[in-house]
Amino acid sequence: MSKRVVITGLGIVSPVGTGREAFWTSLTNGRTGIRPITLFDTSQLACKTGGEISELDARAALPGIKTGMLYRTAQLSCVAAKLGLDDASIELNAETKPRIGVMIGNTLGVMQTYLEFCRTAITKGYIAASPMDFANSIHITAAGYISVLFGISNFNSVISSGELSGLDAIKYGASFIRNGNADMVIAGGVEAISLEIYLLNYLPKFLSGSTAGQREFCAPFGKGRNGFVLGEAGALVVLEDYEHAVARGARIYAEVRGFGAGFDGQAFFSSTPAAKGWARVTSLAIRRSGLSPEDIDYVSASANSSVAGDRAEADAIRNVFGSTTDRLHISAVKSMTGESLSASTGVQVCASALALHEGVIPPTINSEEQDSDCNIPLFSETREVKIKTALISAGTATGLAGALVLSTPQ
Amino acid sequence: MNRRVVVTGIGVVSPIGTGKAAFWQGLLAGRNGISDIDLFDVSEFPCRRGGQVRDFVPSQYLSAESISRMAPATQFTVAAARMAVEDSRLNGHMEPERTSVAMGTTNSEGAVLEKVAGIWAREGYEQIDPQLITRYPGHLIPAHVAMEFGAEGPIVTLPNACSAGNWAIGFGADLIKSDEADVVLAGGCDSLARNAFVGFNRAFAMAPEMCQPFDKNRKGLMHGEGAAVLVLESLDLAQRRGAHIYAEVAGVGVSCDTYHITGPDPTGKGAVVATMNALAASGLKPEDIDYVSAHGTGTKPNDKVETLATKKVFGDLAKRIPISSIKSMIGHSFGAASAIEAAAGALIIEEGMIPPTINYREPDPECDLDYVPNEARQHKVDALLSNAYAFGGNCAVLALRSMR
Repeated sequence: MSKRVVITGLGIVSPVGTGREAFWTSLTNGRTGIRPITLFDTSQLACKTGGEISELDARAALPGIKTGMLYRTAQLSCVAAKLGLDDASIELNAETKPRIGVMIGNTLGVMQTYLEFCRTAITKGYIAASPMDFANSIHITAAGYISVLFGISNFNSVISSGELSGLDAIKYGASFIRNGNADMVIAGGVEAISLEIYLLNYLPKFLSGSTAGQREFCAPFGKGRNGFVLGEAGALVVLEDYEHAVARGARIYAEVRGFGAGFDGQAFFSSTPAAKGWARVTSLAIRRSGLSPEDIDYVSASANSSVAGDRAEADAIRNVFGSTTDRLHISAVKSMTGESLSASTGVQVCASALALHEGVIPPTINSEEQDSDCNIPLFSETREVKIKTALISAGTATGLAGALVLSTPQ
Repeated sequence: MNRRVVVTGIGVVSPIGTGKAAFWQGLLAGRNGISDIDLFDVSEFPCRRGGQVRDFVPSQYLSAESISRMAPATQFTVAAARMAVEDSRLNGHMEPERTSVAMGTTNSEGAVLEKVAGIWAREGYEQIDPQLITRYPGHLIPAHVAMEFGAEGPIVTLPNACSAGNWAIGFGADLIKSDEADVVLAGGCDSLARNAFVGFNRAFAMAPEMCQPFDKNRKGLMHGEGAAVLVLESLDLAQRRGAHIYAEVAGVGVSCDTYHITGPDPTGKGAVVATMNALAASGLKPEDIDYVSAHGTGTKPNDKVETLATKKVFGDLAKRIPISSIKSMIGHSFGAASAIEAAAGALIIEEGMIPPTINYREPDPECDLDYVPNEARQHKVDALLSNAYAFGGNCAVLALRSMR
């Protein structure tokens, strides 16, 4: 008998705020987290802005824990995990630690440390490179540090699928609870900004403003949009066995329902998301939730201000929801946080869980002038409305698409 | 719904041979796949040998256009997938939406980053070719596999380093068990990384000459490379189409140490729990296990702790269960390692032969099990465990079972 899985904790470090309350206050006030980059010198780049976390202080956030060796991705993992565990009121002790797993959605977590390690060895000789920095260039440590520093021992894993990573992590993490192998799993998405990751997106001109003379702005589904603004975040949720959560009187934000994911070779080949595969997996997620499209109240869109991607998502939504599209609430929180890649679906899940719990839906900002090619209803002011279901949508330029349904606990 | 999962195809790229037949012959012959590395400059390192793949000809498996789009780990992986699919005779039986890909890796396309780092260090980042840097991300590896075979189901990468292959197989088996897929191409890959020579030389964890798992005088690991892909398939589909079945994926057990970010818990805690979980997931008892494929890296701490963990799980039985490390022949190929060991495991069950631990000379009092020293052995294997441990305390153990 498969167990039910609910979300009982939100751990979020984001450009619009650290901690659930700051994050939610910003989103529901339509406050942007996009500002001039300070983490590295942008003077030689055409792009200057990002969704950067300005107040990241791992030492202060993790009292009693040695944080000196943590690279930025691992800092985001550990701080978000700590915030999530605290939000869920989970005490770490001999009984709980072996029952908690860690499933981190992350794709580029060691790109910066790996490159830096290589550059050190090349310019100064191998003897100048430190074994600690080597450990920090190995991807599994992005999850491993949570286990080692908090003593959490059910399992740890990283899962990579670009923007889909956070959803894949939640789906796969939840399966350990459904099978009875874990009571709780810290799952979601993490991605940190660095010059290296900036270049990965800047050099192929994916970023808004990367072509000289272009305006640099983030307007999902908006007219004249020309690319995304890079962001970063640690956005993890505490997944918990429903019975376990009820027994300990935990606050339940939402229930994790159906998931669908798939690959579209045509999209991979053309490096642009495609509506067809996206619509298929969205329908799959709804069907696996035991629901129909008309049962969905809110769609948390993946739209990040990229020309083809946003259009494909709008088409996919129309395709799935047909004539009922116009009664949906749809918003793209990336308008405020930027595109935080593997963390982005974690951010969307946190926002959607709060929307279900609080009866408030954050808006899409900067898109007052909507692109006529993106024919879906948007709103620019926060809405107060009781909803029962939310669908988190995600698509990548590498052909992956997926959707996860959350609902109020039944 | 709890469907059974079987292995029906095997593809391998390894330092002792590319292709199932060459690999298996190499394993039984105890072939040493370790040589002087010439893929990149290793002259500054004290330890400069490793398991370099020598016989891989990409054009035998990939079109010129595919080769031009793929970095080395991807080429290994897609080639291994092609061999596995051909071996399984699945062509024409793969329904796109019911076919998935799950791959393990340590470094994604680390070779790309090493090239990028060189350009960056010498000429500045402005000179980095966008076509080069965009080949790095690990999630592109299974996407290339999916492209080649028209898979449209879930596609993921588990970058869980030295246990990544077992994670990918576990993920794939779960997709089939829960009826989300009928076929999963699952495995792992890594190409030789100069940064591993830097890191392991600095950590004094690399052997100068050869890899000697469980030997008293073992001096460390040898870095290797390669890929292995298994065709995982629902038993229903395999039986319906009359497929050749190597073995059943009985279960995967995972756990983790919380001791240190790189080293194992000296008590073997995570390894013991992962092994118990693998047995529980498979419905197997310790006395059912006929063979253990060791993680056996050849480092002092790993081999000692793995021996201890094996004794803790198997008690008095431990000394009677053959346990060998094929890393003695191929080195440690990180993200590929446990996938290659799973491929070996499926062949071991099929052939009733156990590959040896080569370079074994002097017994270590702390490693006192039957490591199948130096010579392959005939031995009927109906169920086996394959151990994998990684940085981050990550432990994943695969159980394979005969379908005879």
